[in-house]
Amino acid sequence: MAKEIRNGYGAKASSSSKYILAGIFSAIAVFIYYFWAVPYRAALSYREQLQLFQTTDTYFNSLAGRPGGPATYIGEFLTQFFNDFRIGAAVMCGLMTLFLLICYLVNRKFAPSIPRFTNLSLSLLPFFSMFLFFGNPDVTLTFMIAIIVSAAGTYLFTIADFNRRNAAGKYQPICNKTTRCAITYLLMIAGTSLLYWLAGPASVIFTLTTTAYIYTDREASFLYKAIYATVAVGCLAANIYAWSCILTYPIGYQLTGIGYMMIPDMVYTGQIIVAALCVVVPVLAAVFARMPQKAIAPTLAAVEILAVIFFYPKSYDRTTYRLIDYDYMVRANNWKGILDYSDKHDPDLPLSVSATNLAAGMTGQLDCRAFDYRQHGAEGLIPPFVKETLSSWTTGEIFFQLGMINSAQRFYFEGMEAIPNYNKSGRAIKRLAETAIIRGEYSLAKKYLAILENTIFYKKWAQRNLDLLNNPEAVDKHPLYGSMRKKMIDEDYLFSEGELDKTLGQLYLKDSGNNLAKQYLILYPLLQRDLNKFAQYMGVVAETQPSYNPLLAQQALAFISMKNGQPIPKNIVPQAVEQSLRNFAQAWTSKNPSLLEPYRRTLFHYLLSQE
Amino acid sequence: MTKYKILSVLITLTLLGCGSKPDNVERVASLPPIFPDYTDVTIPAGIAPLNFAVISDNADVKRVDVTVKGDNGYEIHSNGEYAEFDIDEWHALTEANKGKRLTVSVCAKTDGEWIKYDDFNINVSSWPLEQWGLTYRRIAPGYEVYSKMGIYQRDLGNFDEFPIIENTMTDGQCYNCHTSNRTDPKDLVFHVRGEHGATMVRKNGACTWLKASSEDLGGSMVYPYWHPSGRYCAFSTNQTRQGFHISKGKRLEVFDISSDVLVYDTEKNEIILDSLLNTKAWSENTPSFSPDGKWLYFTTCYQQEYPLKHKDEKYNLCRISFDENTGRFGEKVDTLFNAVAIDKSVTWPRPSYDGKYILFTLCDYGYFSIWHKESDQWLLDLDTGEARPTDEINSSDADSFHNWSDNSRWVVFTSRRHDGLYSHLYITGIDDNGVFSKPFLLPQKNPKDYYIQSLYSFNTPDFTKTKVDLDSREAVGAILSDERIPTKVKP
Repeated sequence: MAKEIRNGYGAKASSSSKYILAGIFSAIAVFIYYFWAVPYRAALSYREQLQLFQTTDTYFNSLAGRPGGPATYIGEFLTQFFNDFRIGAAVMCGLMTLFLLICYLVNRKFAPSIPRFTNLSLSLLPFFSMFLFFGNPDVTLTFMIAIIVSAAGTYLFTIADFNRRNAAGKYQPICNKTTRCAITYLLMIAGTSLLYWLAGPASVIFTLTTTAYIYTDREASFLYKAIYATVAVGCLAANIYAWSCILTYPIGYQLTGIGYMMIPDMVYTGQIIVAALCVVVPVLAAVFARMPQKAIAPTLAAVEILAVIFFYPKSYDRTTYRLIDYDYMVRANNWKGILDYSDKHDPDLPLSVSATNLAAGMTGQLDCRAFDYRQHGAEGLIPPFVKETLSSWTTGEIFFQLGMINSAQRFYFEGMEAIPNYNKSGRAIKRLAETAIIRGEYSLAKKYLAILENTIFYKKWAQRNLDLLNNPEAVDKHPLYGSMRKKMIDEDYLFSEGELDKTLGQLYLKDSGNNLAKQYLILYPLLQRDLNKFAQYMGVVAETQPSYNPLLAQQALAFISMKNGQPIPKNIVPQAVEQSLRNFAQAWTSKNPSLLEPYRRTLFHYLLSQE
Repeated sequence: MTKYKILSVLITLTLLGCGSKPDNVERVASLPPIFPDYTDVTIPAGIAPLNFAVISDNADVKRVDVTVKGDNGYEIHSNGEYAEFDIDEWHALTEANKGKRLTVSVCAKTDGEWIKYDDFNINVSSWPLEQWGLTYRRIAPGYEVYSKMGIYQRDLGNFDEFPIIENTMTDGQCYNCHTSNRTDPKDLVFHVRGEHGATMVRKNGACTWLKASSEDLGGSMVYPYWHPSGRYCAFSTNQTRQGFHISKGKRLEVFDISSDVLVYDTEKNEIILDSLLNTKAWSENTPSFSPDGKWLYFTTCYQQEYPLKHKDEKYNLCRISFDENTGRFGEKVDTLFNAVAIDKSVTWPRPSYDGKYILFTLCDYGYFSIWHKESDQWLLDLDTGEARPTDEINSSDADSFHNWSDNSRWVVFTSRRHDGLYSHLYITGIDDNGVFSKPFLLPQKNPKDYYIQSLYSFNTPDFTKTKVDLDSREAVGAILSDERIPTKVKP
């Protein structure tokens, strides 16, 4: 097909290729939307809960005074929409597609004659690298915004360069050399300063890509190019130095990007690769445009797809994302969802085990089904405090549902303080407002609610609760706050991690309708393999609920009886349970693993084994 | 031309509709509901403007119109979403009215109607502040984990705040207990906790980084207080533990499994110990020197079994003589205030620099008073030996750590009176009879937004005579280097 020159921008391909290209863009957009809206929606919630974006001047000012602050502001503004996975997925789809489009446009400025599919397959390199890098949940939208802003800045620079190359890449001056030179430098210096403020160190993309752009200009002298490169790099260095004089961050953070990652002091390879590809790919476009085209696009596409398949499991680490899934369901109090998930994926980490136990307890199944899942001792029921956000919040949720409001308050507060990039959290502030209301700390609750009023997604909830506080009597009647108040222990003593069973007992004695506390109370000693304590706690429960006789209690009683050489009380232990114990005993004494396998997830096996 | 006329009429009508100036004002016989509550407070001339917001639970306050007139003349005006005064005008007003009253007239527009409240007064003290500003630590009121925190300084003449050091610079270290010598930051000490722990002692501007803890001392150097000579600095050695309450009234408890008091000699790099301040059965704590340097005040309690008997931890206020020439303590300890006798506990004794008083905090037990709602400020008159609760500045919530201005006419202290958790700074003046004026909340440019949105507590506040000129980059380099000077115990 004969090539025509059109609008100075490359070869006119058939109209069908144009539609195919649009179709590929659309398919990519749909895939990105689906990816974040369905299998990875929990990751959106994860990122949203690690920030507290407020629509106030104070909030903007708190970010505007640092390089990359505006990118963080925009990133956090957009991240708040992750609260609703449908909007969040649309945001991700929009940003990723925009990134791809900008890469495509920059390539076309570097190589106006490059065929569409070659350009697209090249543009997919930074796009896929960004996609894979985002598998790391520590990467924030700040990073993506910073990259997009820097790449867009590069594109604007090339546009503002007076379209001085025609379709064949030939130099077409539209003003005299001095004027052109002055304007180029002005754009570079202003662009560097502006972009460094807007995007932070990602603006190095602008510095290097515009330098490369100048280098691809065959008409410009080497001296001109060398001076441009020196001034561009010097200008960026000057900006970094000037900011370092007023920032209270180490220079290392400034170079890796304040706010790009949740963990500020880490250097990620993916970050460097994405930025490097944004610089290298336009240069490759200029090189590839001069080569025979036939095999470039399909080869590149094939290599990229293979690379994505290879790196995907490493980028989207299954273990990490399972924990994020659990956290998402704990946050939503989706107890059935957790149990279904645990039925499919055997929970084996402290967070997933404790979340599964909580879900089983909340659905009234813990005292029957606890050993259907892997157990981690009493710490799997109520994990000890660790300085980590998700674990703290999961444990905080356990305390909250139990009615240990002080401890819930502490764990949510500590979880928020453990957010590595010093952010606050909408999720935590919401829970802290609730715990303050339950504790009767209305002034404090009003403070938290006033903060949430400055958000988009928590505003209505905050206003409803502020109205509620104007009528304190209504708080006692509130379905959540009122019932939690009834659960709270009156006697004051200091929290002891080693004696949580005693607190569970206190909770049950305070409110015998606290079904979760009851289940935790009888399971706690079983998980400690302390059958004497179990018998003691069952006695406490039996005083108020004589008919309470769940499967685990039956199994434990049968086990105790057999262990002590006493007859199994048939009025309490059904025949099936007794038979099951006898079968297990035979299997255990046979020491035949295949015979024991069916009992691996039973109380009997747990009590005897030391796993 | 007609078009322009119509446009001008429309613009005029729009402006009139905005109603930014009070008209058809309805009078109500009550003080305006303002935040912060600046009614009848006493301020030093030259303080930052007392900007405030009018708040109402029932109505949305869209606009306020405020006029402030001085008894000695001069008038300033503010009209906006909240009362915001020009700094220079405010300074001129307060300077012109030293020892006089300012009368504040407030109109507020709520639900489209203007309301005029009763006027209120602000008293301008005849006593100057004579301090550049304040230093304080800002940190979330958490338990064991802390996020962003740092030590900051604030120009009291305006709203400028500067970090002295922030933990964002050093991988999330904790900084605490910054203390200058009688508000002069040429002598300064603060602690770094965590991986790069240290005690920074700055004498006449030169920094020394001491080892954070030592086996010889039985702990770290905590809660410092400078000897007026600048040669010595007293510390306690608190081995601190925390406990968390189960029931709803309280949150957190801090107690020491042991603590002694020591004095560090900055000239000889020696620790001065004394058997009367290093007892096994007792915990000595929170030392401070008298302004003449002849006495060391401290608190002491009988060591309890923790955490079981943490509520029995009750401190008395004591003193022991100190000879700065020999670096030796006296032979006996006097009890200045027997808190145990009234079943209470003393903490944070801070003598006024004129030698007249000791201001301390009293709580039911323990010494970490900020977590005790019942904590109140008490004033001990050193001439009469009588102590009284300073009800004029106390609140129903925790009123805790405090410090005096250099001229002993002003006190800054922390209080949780606003929301029960986040500590804010209040400043109060004291008259010749030892009576404090109504305290005022540290002014902010937009106080309502600032204090509501802030998720940080201010603590360990002190006045500072001049701006602290610590080179934070250099300090960070020293912290991260881990080069520390060990201290030695004086034989």
